[in-house]
Amino acid sequence: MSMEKSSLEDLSARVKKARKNMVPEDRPALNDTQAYGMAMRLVAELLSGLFVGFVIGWFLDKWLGTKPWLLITFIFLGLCAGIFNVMRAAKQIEAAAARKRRQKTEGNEG
Amino acid sequence: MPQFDPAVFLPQIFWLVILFGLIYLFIAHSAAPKITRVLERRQDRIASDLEEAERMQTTAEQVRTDYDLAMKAARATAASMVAQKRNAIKAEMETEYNQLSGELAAEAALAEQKIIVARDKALDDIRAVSVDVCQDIIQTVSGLDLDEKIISVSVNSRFDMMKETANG
Amino acid sequence: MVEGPLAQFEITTLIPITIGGHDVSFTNSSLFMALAVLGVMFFMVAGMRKGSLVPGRWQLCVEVCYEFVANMLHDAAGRDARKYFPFIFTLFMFILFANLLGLVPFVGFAFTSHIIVTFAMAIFVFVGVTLIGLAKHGFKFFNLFIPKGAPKALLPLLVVIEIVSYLTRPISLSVRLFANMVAGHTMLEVFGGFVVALGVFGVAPFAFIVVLISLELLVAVLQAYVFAILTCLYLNDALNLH
Repeated sequence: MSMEKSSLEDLSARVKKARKNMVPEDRPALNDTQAYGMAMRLVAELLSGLFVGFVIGWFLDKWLGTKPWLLITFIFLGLCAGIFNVMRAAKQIEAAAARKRRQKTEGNEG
Repeated sequence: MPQFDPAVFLPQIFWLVILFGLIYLFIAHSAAPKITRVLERRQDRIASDLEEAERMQTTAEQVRTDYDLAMKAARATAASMVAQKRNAIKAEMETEYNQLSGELAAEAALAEQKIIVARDKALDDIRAVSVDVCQDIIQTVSGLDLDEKIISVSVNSRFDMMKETANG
Repeated sequence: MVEGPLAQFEITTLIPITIGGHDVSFTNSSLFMALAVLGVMFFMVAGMRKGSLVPGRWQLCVEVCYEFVANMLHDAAGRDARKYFPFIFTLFMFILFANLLGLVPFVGFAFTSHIIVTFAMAIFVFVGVTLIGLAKHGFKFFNLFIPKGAPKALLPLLVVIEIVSYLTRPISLSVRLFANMVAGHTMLEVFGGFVVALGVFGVAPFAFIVVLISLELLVAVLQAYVFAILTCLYLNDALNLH
């Protein structure tokens, strides 16, 4: 009798578990690999900021005949843009890490 | 670096567009939908299997509940039957006991009566003999011819005392 | 190894073709693009041949790739982005196979180590994503360039920086893939040269090459992934603004 009962409860637990697995849980928007991918961005982000600033400044100077002022300005702006992008990527990594931590603590409590 | 030679740009872009377009069309119209179908079919199958399992679980639980109820009812019936039987036997035994003890009491009373009667008769006989013996003894010893009545008074009082002790 | 480590990036014409006076020859680069396409096709067709309910090893590989990209797209860009899945999936698989084919010893050629190829893909993504954003949000799309909660006085400067930052996207996207592939292949070639030059004593650099190749395999996958995830994130910006 006790064995019947335990096997029935076991079945119920297994069915419940399977049902839970069916529903895709809310994944964090960014996971570890993604955070790592984010980190891979940083250097290229900085350099391409400079490069784009240089190109824009160069062509605007050529067009408006203001050599070399716009070039200097836009190299500076490009650098700023690069830094912005790096900060943005860092923020995304941080957010992903925070989400991960939060999820972990929730998982431990639950 | 050969990568920055403008001569290599156009042919690469040309073939990239053609071949990337080709693989995109292949994936978008053939491969991806096929994988989607397979995954959906699996998902559906799992869902239906799970539903079946849940249904069967419910049935199993129902069966179990029914079984428990039936078991409980049977146990109650059995218990009541046992109690009933026990009471019946007890009552029967009591009546039999009462009857038997009544009979025994009556018999005992009868026997007692008989004993009393026999004893009284024996006492009366002894009294008569005692009076005669006393008259003879007195006559022989003192030559007095005492009246039977005087002797019987004395003997009777003794016998009454004896009877009282016997009955008391 | 007389030509030096950069010779491996040389384009050689296999079938000369010209259309309207323009050179569109079939080159070794085109050959490897075709191989990547055939590789992806074969991978998928052979993997999903049976399309069984319980997947075999190969089918599982295909499904894992599919779900990896699907989850990535969903996580990064949300539900609306679903219809762009075939494109992202193609992009990921194509770059992945290109990178891996480039690592085949002696004959491998990675066309992703050509800036024009990576730039063409990046600019396509960039233009495509911008058009999707414009089509969905109209002029509101330009809100993307207005940072939230910025002081009014700095706003014009910040908007210019945001625009420049937006314009860096195709550059950073293409340069990253290009630079990683070039760096990896150049290193392999240099150390390969050491192995040949040192003869018997080339064992040490050979061991190093083995390590380097496994590292390059990782980079090949990772760069395909980074290209795809960034495309997803750009798509997210275009679809949902922020």
